[in-house]
Amino acid sequence: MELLRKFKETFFSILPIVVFVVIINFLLIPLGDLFPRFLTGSLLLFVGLTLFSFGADVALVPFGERLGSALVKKRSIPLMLVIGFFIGFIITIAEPDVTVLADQVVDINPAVNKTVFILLIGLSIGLFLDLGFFRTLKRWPMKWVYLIGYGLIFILAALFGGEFLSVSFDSGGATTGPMTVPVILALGIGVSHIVSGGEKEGGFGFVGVASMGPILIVLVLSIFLPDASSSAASSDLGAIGMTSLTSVLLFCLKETADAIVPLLAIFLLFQPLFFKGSARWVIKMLFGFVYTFVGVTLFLTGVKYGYINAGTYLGHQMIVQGYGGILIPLAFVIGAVIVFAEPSVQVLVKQVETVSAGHIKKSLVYVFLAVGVGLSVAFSIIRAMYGISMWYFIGPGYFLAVLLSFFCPQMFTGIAFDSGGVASGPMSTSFVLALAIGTSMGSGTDPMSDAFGLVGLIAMMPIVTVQILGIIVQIKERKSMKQQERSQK
Amino acid sequence: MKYLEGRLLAICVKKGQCDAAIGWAKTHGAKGATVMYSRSFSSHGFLRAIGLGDVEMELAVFLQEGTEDFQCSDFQKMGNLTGFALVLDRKENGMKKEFKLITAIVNKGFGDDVAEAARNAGSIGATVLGARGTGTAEDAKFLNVVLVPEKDVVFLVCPESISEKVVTAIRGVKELSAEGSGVVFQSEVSEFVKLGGPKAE
Repeated sequence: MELLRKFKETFFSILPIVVFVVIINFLLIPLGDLFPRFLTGSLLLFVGLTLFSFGADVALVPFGERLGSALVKKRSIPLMLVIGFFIGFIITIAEPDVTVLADQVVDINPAVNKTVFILLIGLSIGLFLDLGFFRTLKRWPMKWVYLIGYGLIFILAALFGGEFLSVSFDSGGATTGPMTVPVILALGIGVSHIVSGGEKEGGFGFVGVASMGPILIVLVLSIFLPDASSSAASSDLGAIGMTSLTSVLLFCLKETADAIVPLLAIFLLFQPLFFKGSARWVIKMLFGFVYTFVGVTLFLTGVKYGYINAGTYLGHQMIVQGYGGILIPLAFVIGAVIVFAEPSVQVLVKQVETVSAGHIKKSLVYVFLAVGVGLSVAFSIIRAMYGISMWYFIGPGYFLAVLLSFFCPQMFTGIAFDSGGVASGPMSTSFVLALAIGTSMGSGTDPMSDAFGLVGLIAMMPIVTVQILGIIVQIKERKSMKQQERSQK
Repeated sequence: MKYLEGRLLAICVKKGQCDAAIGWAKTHGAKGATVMYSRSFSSHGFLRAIGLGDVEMELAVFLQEGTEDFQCSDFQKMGNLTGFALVLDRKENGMKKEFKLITAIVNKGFGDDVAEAARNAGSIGATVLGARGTGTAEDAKFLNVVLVPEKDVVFLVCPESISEKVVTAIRGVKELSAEGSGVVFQSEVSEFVKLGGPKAE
C-alpha cells in the first residue's frame, strides 16, 4: 500500500531523534515532566510530517512547478519579474518565521521598526527570486552569482556587521519556512522543465539564491542604524513555559493559516489566468493544500509543545551537571538525526532523486546532509559553550562553499546551496536553537550573540558537504567512463 | 537502412522494485535497461477522489536482441514485484493479439483526466510519465532560450476488445477537445502479464 509506505517512511525519519532523546532521558538527564510532553509532541510530529509529505507531493511541489513554468511561458520579461517579485514578497511576509526574526532584530536594536523590517525582508526575497529567474534564463553560471553575492555579503559584514552578524546569517535560513521552501524549490524545477537544455542544472539553486536576500538586507539595514546594545533582551529567551496543548495548537493553527492563505490565494488567482487546469486537477490541488495545512499545524504544534522546552532543559542541564565534554559529540549526533525530521529536507531529497531519475540516490544525499548539519550543531554548541565569534566559522565556511562551486558539477552546486536554506527548518530553528540557548545559559555566555547564529551555521555546512558529494560523484563517474572505454578497446 | 532485430520488453513496477528486476534480468542475458520514473493510480476510487491516489512507479525498458532467455511471465515468477510487464514486437508472429497498448500524449496536467476517462471506459489502470515536446518553429525564443511545452504521456494496456471504446473515451475528454491538445494511438502488445496481487494495475 502506497499510504502505508509513506507512514513507514516518516516513522523512520523521526524515529532517530525520538530514540536519541529517550536514551538521554533514561541514561543521562531525566526530563521529568517534560518527557510525556516530548512523547506527545513526537506523535504529533509523526502525523504532521506524514500529512505534510502528502501535501507537498500533491499540492506544493506541483503548484510551484506550474507557477515557475507559467511565468516563463508568457515570454514577457516585465510580467515574469513583476509577478515573480510579487510571489516572493507575499509568501515571505506571511511567513511566521519572519515575524520571529523581526522580534529578534528589534530585541537587538529597538530603533528598528518591525513592520518596515518585515516588508524589507519580503522585498529582498522578491528581488532575489527575480534574480533566480533571470539567472536561469540568461544561463549565468551559478558559481559566479554566489561568488558575487557572498563576496558582497562578507564585505558588508566585515564593515558593518557588528551586533547584527549572527542574526543576519540566521535570517537567510530562517525566512524560508516549511511551506515556502517546497514552492520556491519547485519554481526553478518548473522553469527547467520548459527551457530546452534546462536539465543540466535540473532547476536547483532558487532557494540558495533567495536565501542571500535577507542576509544582505539585514546587513544593509545595520549600516543605517544607530548603535544600541542589547541588555535585558535575552532574559526571556528559553523561559520554560508549560503552556497547554490546546493553546499551542491554536497558536500554530493561526500561524499556519497566515502562511498558507497567500499560497492558496495565488493558486486560485493563477488557475483561471495561467494554469487553466481541469476540474479534477484543481480538486486534487485543493485537497493537497488541506493536507499541507493540517500537517504543518500538527508538526509545529508537536515541535512547540514537546521539543522546545526539552531542548532548552537538556542544553542547560548538560552543562550544569558537568556533561559539557560529551555534549559536543552528542550535538553532532543530534544535528545528524534532526535532518531526517525536517519537512523541507524530505521534499528536496525527493526532488533530487526525481530530477536525476534515480541516478542520485536519496540515501547518499541524506548522509552528506546529516554530516553537514551534525557539524553545524557541534560548532554551534562549541560557540555557545565558549562564546567564540561567528566569524571563525562563517568566514572559512563560506569561503570553502564558494571555492568548491568551481570544482563541483553545476547541478550539485544548486542542490547544495538549496540544501542550506532547506536544512534550516522548524526543527533546527526551535529544538536545536533551544538546546544552544540552554547550553549558553548554563555556560554563562550571552545567548543573543553566542547561541544565535546556529541557524546560519546549519544553512552553511550542508553547502560544503553536499558539494563534496558532487565532486565525489563526478570523480566516480569519470573513472567508470574510462573503464568502459578501456573495456571497449 | 538496417534495423536491429529485436523486441521491446517493458516492465512497470512500484518504486524501489525496479533494481531487483533489472538485476535479475541481467543475470539472464539482458545487457541493460533504461529506467524512468512514472506515476500510476490506486485502484481505490475514494483515495483518488481525495487526491491521495497517486502511486509512484518505475518503468524499465529492455531492448531484447535475442541473447536473453526470459519472458514477461518470468518476472511474474519473481513474486515480489507489483505492476505489469509487456512486450512490443515488430515482427508479426501470427499470434492473435489479446492486448493493445494505448498511448496518449497530452498537455501537462491532463494525464489524470485521460486515465480517469479510460477507467470509465473499462480499462483498469494507467501509467503517466512527465515529458516535454519539442516546440515548433513559431515558438519565439525568450531571452535567447527556446521554450518547449510540457507534456504528460499516458500509457495504458487494455484488452483488444475494448480498445476502440477506450480511445473514443479519451478523445471525448472535455478539456482535450481543442485542436492541438495531444495525440492518442494504439500499438500491438504481443505479451502482457500482471505482476503481484490483485492491487496491481
